[in-house]
Amino acid sequence: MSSLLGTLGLIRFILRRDRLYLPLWIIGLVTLSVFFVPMLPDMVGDEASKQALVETMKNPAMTMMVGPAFGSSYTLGAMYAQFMLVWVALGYGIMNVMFVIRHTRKDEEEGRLEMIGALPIGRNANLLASLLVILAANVLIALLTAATIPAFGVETIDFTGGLSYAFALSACGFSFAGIAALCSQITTRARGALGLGLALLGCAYLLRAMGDADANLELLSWISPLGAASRCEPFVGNLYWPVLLLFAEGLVFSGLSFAFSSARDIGAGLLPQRRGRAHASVLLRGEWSLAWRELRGTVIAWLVVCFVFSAAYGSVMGEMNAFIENNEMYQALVGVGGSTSDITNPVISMLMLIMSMIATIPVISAISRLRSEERRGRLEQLLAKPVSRSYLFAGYFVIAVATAVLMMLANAFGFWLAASSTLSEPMDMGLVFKVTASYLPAVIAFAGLAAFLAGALPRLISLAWVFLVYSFLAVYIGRTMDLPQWVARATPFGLLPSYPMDAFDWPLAIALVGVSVAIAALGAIVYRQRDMSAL
Amino acid sequence: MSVIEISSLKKRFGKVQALDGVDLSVEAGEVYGFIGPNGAGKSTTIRVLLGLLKASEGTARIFDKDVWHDAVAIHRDIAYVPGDVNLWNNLSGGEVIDLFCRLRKSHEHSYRDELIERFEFDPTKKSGTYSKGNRQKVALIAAFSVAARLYILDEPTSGLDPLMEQIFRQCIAEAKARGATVLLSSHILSEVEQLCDRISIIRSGKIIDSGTLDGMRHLTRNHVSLQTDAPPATLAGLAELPGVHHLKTDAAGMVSFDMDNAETAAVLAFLADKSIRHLVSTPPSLEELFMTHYVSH
Repeated sequence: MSSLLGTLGLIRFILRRDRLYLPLWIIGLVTLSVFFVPMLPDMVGDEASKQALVETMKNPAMTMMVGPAFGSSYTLGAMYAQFMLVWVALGYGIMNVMFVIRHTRKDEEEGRLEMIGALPIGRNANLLASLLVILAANVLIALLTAATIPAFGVETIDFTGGLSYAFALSACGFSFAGIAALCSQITTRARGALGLGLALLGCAYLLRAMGDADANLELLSWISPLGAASRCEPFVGNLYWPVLLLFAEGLVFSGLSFAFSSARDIGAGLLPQRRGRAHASVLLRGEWSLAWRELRGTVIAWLVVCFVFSAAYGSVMGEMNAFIENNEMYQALVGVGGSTSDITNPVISMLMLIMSMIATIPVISAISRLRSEERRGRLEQLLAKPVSRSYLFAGYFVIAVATAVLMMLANAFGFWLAASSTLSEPMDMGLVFKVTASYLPAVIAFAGLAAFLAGALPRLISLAWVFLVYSFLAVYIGRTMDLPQWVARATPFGLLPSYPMDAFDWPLAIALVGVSVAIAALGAIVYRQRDMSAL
Repeated sequence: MSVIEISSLKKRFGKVQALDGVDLSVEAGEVYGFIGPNGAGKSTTIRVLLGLLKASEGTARIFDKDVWHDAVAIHRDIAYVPGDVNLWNNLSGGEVIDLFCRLRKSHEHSYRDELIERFEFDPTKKSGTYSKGNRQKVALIAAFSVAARLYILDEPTSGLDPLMEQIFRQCIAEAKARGATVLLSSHILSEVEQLCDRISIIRSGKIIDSGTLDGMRHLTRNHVSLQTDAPPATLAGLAELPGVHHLKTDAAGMVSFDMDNAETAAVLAFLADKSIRHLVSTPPSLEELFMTHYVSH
């Protein structure tokens, strides 16, 4: 096995390079996996509110969003697994994809693997070392999670269930490590490989959404690692063979990546590089058009993501209506003089809220690009031309805000189109667009925050991501269960009223947009005053 | 009026004093060499000149405008080539060149295609696939495509092959003939020696020597080698003369030593009656000057 020579040395090297990165991810994921356990009993409340929650969790929209509820008696453990597992597994997927691509295609693109390849080290040693480290990291995360969960002493959330929950997540994560290893063989650019890996993660979510929503399509949920993970039935059936299936998938994908890696040249991918134009088009003529050219691919890809995800969510509306008609408790809830919209409105509001947060990802990513351009030393050349820093900065902010609007349009349109096609009569278009628009100020607030960080505190730009994850957790949990109000209200999404249940608060929305523009402007002022550096 | 005027320029990064009082002035129409070892402060000086870094103390002006406050106005008339050209992977070389020309708000593209041909450059490849030398060509072609008043070149030829290096030297000569000013930072001393009218040597954030190459040579030593018909003992006193260093006699009787230029008269007076058959005095190359500065300081 001379192609694997030196793997041990490289493992040590990877651990040395990631001595901060990896522990942070491990702590982050363990925290994400368990933080909600101690809060659960208080939030579920008494038996009556528990019953209401059970019905909510079993409705088709919820099943589509987070997966099915398992077990005849819906224990706290079953509830915890259903409520958390799929979302948390997405986090595991992101970590695994990012780690593997960072150590494979990224290192190759930057020329670092070339230097390693010139040492007496085998061709595939780096790939194997990266996969072994991530496998070990996944197992470590699972053990830490399993050890932490019973410590909270919550009824029905015990060690056995915790172990199943933890390994379901880690096995799902590792299957994505394998997928990422394959992606990094296909494209020549790390950015492309990362995009492909995350797109496949998104597809996995959609597959399981379709499979979970419709019993006839359950096979789709098994194909999706996220769906397979939830079928471990943690705290209920505690099944282990889906875990084995997922680890096996990870190993098969890894094996394929070794086969491809052995067959290709260093620096090459399976997809050919296209030739470019000899002359720039008339559209590529300034700093804004360059920024757009850089962001175009990302924006288009996310438009597709938003449209498809919203359409998937929208398609549940038909089943939602049928569910309400056949459910006595819901009918009681609606009561005399009430209407079905009393139940569907909160569902639409919740789904569009989640889609708004997904739409925020490309918005932050657009502004982060300003920072990464600086770090890669590209801005240096641009700013040596008669290019004003404020104009450049404004370009990224304007593109980010335009991106926000485009994403929200894709959300509303996708949701409305799919909902209308599954309902007997078309959905109220105005309502869907108004609900979507009601969250736009929050998305713009993230553009403002990211712009402020890129301008004034460039090294802390990732705080925008941290805050988005926090917002997601706070609002997602806060909307379903009892949480102190300030937890969600500390975020732009939680601050805005839940339209259409509550009236839209124009002054607040205008103030939020105003503050966002103001902090972005503050970022621009600092940006003009500071050193441009690669640090 | 000087094109570039830097005085007592200081730049600190945290605790590191990157520039510690740099003085430099480049006159219109001259090609100015800027040399020094890695980490001496060349690129930091250039980044301050480009308005990318803000000076901690001192002033730096180009075209009599402040490099920080009037950066955009100054940049209309300058062209810059960095030593490490980072490009956008998804744009082709041709697209980047056009973009750079357009950003300089110029509509004359007369030199673009000619330069692409002279540099034997393929503009249709995606930037991510270019080698170091080819990335360098992108920046060079963009810089020389549009006539500028001032060229700021920071190790512009790193990665270029010797043929392309020749093309680069022609470009500089042509720019100079047009009356442009050039600030050239380089490690290739033969390039500087051939192209530059004046030179500054920077070390640890300070300029330690400036002037024409000839002027610098006057302050240093010449290398002298000679042969005499007289018995070797007659030259015995030579080693004791002030200003004579590294005296050596080889097997063939060839005597060689380094001589401080200031002591030339005294040394020649001593040698006058020593039956010298043959004497050669060579000025130091820029490389030797450079080494002298760095080894002796």
